[in-house]
Amino acid sequence: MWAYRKKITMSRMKWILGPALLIGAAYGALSDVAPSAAQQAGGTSRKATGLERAVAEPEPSAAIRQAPVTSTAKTGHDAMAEAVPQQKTAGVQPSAAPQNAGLSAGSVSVQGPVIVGRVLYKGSVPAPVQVEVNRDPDICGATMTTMPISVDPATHGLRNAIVHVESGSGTMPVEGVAQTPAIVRNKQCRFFPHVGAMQAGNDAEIINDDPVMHNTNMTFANRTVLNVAVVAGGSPIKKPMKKAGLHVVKCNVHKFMQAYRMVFDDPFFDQTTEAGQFRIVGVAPGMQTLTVWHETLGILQKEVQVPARGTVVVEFEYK
Amino acid sequence: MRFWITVCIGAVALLGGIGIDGAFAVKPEDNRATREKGKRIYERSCIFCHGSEGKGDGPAGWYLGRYEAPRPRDFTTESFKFRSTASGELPTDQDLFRTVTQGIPGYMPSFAGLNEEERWQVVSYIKTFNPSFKEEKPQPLPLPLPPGPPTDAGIEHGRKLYMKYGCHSCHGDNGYGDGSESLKGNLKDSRGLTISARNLTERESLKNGSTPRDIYRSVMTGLDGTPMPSFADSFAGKEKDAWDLIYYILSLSQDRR
Ligand code: HEC
Ligand code: HEC
Repeated sequence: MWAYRKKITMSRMKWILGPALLIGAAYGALSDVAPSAAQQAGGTSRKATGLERAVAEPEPSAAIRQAPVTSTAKTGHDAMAEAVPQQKTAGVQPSAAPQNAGLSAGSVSVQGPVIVGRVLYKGSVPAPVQVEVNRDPDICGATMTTMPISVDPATHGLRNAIVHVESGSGTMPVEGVAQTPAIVRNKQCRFFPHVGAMQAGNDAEIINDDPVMHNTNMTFANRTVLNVAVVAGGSPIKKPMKKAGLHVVKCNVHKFMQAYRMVFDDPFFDQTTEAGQFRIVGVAPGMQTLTVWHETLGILQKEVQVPARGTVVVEFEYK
Repeated sequence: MRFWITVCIGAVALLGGIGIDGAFAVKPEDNRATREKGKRIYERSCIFCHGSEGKGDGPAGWYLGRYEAPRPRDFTTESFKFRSTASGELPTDQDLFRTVTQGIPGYMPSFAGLNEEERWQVVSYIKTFNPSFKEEKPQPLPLPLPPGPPTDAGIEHGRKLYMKYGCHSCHGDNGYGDGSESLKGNLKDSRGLTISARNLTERESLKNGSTPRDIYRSVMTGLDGTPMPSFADSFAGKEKDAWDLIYYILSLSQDRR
């Protein structure tokens, strides 16, 4: 033991190695008999999957709330018309690139079952948040407002929630898989879109429209997935997103910039439109777990019986 | 095995000049026996900072102040700062070997006192803490040789790039680490702890080495887990610009001696 200690070169150490070594010796002796604090604290980890894993850390703190499994799930096209009066069109969602958008225009005939529905929020919508702009006000604007909860007043539909079929099995028609890169655009010191969903393996394309330098720092839990400088006038940067999970996007030069990218291993997800609508195709028939995530409202889950053909309508409501 | 030898020779050739040439000659095979030996070294030399399970929670961390960055690395989940690989990638074995050999000025002692074989063994062992090391195959980015000695015009151009590429917003107009984002405490590391941008005028305090190629590597790869971004894409195809900037940074400390 001491042989190694003596060998440590201490030349450039600025801080208290001495006490550290003493403690270390004591610790070394103790650790033979007693479990360490780390072992005790770390004992409760369990394997989480999909969305649950994705939002486990570090923010927002999203407790899993079980949505009441009511009888909102109906099958058949009539039911769909009743529950979703407004047909979702590809144009509804200008900023995001929903994976299923290619199919929602109605031109493509879908073989398997279709899951459609809405995510609702009837609670009081918090006032827009004023964010302090501490840098580059000429480019970023003197003040900035963010609206974490965006609800369509007519329908209570909640925008920018991400719905995912957890078990994820099924066959995806090729037309439905978005091959386009998921955009992360820096514009007037904001990320566009604010929330986005994409399939692992696809590229994130980072673009800077501003005449100042930004850095785009994407993290998943406490690991850096990508932290690249995007200088003014620089070319877009494309990088594949490799792992599923909730990625928090920040710029460290402008601390008020933040966005989210949800990455999934499969294509069975969609992001809600301004009216809170979503549509997922190609899922295997049978009992499936649907999970919906929202930036500040957290997670809801629901079991849904997916028929072999036709449409099943699902409604989520954040209370 | 032959593949790995080739990789190591390549890596050493790339990263040469820091006194570890020939290290590949003794790099033991990454097998159970090697990891076992590494574990014993870890328990003597690293455990009091990095913790028994590699979570960076060893008791010596108390002395660092629980809420001060940087904490000893949590090998189980955290990113690595000192890499030759692209942002988001794990470090290569050679990168870990270099960190263990050089230490981290101000924060971690150099373990050059362990012989090379022992350092490779402990590298093998710390990789067992994070299963990603089994799944991912980190590849080093190219690390070219400097084009030639610095020139006044190049350094002057480097200063312009320093401002244009936004280094000053964190490192300050003159590299003292006093950029407004750093001074105001807005920079956070992956644990949410406040971290300051490095004072680039103190060459000996650079954590990731202070040769021109070391600084080139830091700027191109970025320091994952911190706000320091990778500039590899910004300098793609602009090799001369990159070296002008690196020589400008080096000039910051030379002027003051
Ligand atoms: C005196 C405390 C201390 C000891 C002893 C120590 N470390 Fe560290 N180590 C640190 C700190 C602090 C950091 C984080 C520094 C930073 O993030 O700037 C670190 C970081 C690291 C890193 C990560 C470098 C990177 O690229 O992010 C590695 C690898 C590492 N240590 C290996 C070891 C090994 C192997 C040993 C034993 C041979 C060891 N350390 C012993 C304090 C220590
Ligand atoms: C968003 C803030 C930010 C920007 C922009 C930034 N840096 Fe850094 N840089 C940091 C931080 C923070 C650290 C220290 C990380 C640490 O101590 O672990 C750092 C560290 C460094 C280091 C030291 C590595 C070492 O060995 O200790 C160098 C060199 C460096 N930066 C150069 C640059 C250059 C050149 C630019 C512009 C091209 C730049 N930085 C832009 C935040 C930034």
